[in-house]
Amino acid sequence: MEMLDAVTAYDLKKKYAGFTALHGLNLEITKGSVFSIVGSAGCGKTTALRLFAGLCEPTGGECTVLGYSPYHEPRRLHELMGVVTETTRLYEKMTINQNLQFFAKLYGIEVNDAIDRISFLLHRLDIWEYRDKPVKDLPTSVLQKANISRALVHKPKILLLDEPTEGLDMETTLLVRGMIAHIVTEEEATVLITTRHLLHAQALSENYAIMEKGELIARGTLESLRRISGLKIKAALRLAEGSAPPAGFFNRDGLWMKNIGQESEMPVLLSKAMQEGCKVYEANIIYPTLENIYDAFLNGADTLQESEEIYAGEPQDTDDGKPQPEERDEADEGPDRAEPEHGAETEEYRNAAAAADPGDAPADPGSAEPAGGEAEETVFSVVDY
Amino acid sequence: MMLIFLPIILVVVIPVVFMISISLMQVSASDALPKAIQGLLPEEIAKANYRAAMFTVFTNLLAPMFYLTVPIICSVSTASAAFISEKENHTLEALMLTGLPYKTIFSAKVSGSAFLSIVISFFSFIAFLASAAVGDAILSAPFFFNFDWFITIFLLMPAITVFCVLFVALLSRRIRTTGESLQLMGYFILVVALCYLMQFCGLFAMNTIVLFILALLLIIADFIMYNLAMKKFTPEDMLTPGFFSEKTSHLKSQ
Repeated sequence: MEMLDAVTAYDLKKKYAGFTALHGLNLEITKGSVFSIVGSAGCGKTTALRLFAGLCEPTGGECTVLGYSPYHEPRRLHELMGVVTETTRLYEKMTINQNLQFFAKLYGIEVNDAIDRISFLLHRLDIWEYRDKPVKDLPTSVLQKANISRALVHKPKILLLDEPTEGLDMETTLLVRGMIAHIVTEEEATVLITTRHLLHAQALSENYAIMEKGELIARGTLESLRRISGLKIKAALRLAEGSAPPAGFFNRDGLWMKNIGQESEMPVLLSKAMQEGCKVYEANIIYPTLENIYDAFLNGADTLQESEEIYAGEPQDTDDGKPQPEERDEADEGPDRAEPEHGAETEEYRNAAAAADPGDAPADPGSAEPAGGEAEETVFSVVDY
Repeated sequence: MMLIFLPIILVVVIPVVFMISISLMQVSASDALPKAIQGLLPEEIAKANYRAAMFTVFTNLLAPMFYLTVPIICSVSTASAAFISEKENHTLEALMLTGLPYKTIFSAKVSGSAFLSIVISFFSFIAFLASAAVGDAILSAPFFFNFDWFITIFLLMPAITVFCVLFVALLSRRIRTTGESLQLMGYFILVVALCYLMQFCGLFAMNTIVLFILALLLIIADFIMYNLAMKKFTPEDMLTPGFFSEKTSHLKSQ
């Protein structure tokens, strides 16, 4: 029966001289997927990667990669695996080309095949022009890409990358993503990335595991992690200046937002806003980023909100006659959040309402105080992904 | 550069300096070597003149000490480059992540270091042979090459070379920098120097039998150390101490 998981870890532990880096990791990574293990420095993600690469011996539990034990069958596994750690380097006095040809030879690749493969990798990663320069003279970003090339020269079936985007800008990160996408789709490889850069992890992979202090906290796709964390997705509308917002929306960064349970609510909201006479210039669905989800898991929902937020619109009755409480987005970001206050108004809304219908606006918008206190920015970063 | 200039100084320059010094010495007819030192030399030296006898003292009792410094320096330098420098520059990790068995990588490094050192040592001996032969001819001394020198070149020198390479390989998991490993050569040279200089204290003579036993002991030690060092040549032993200390210092600095 064909193995479905490229990597499995069962109660994997690692202890270094009195310091426990990994407290029993249980993980499965499906073949052909791009998986990221994310966490802060010292959370154990690099240790996990080194165990999967066979660079250290587990002190407890076991793991397999492509069916092989990394520590006990390293030779067979390394023929199928490419690894880039934070510490691996190329030979400084040799050029990129010489380095890649050297490693290709070690993998037993024929000279002509090696030349073709090296040419492809260097062009794809946009470092072809640096191929004949000594490694010691190269900038960090080129070095990192050259290191990735080294790991890919033998067409591995699994690629392990530790902080692959360290020192790289977003543009280069996207280049690396393109390379990863190619090897996953064209070469049927599995990719495991460990990184503390959550934005880059989100850009590079589809499945995630969050680690902290040597333990696995959560794993899944972005959507499943979002649901587990309790964070909501938001409907965001950019309205014409002076246009009254629809009921139940709150203002942030010039956008009117409302928490929704799922995407399918958006068309209903949009048509309702149109019916209410809102002049909608732009409508978006905003998903929590991996960074937001990570914060939610580690710091809890309470720390995401520094104060209550004021919501626009009057409380709306539900179809069953019960008053619908105003949603407060941070209120939904965890099971322990309190229900928001009702009927709060933002100053912007009053100004907007005054502009739309001066008759209803208070005489001095500036003097009215919002019921729930001043609106403050939450730490929930808004990213239209 | 060290692997070229130091051997030249040790096996060419120093013998030439000795030869010139002995040639310029003021000697009288009554000058003779002390009997204790004569006992350490070949019998035919009793018939040689004082200058020839002094040069024979140099070629038989002191020159081997200078000569054996060459394989020690070469082997420790090459082994440091093969093991410690690679670890320092983090290329050893890349090497261990290829499909090569760790034993193959280890054997290649040991044999490469040892072979290079033996070749340099052998050519150093050729250079010494030339300078010593000239000295023997000028000072009318008996030709220096004897069975002791034969054991030194073909048994002791390779055994010391391999021993030094394996010693560096064995300690490479603990040694962090190339500078630290190069300091090892000082300890080896000290031991060799003590062995040869202690002859003058009358404790023992580095004669044929002693040289043969020393070579044999070193060869046995080489076999033991080879197996031991090869077992320890794993990523866990070679790379993890460095990784762990970097990580903990990074976490401490945070």
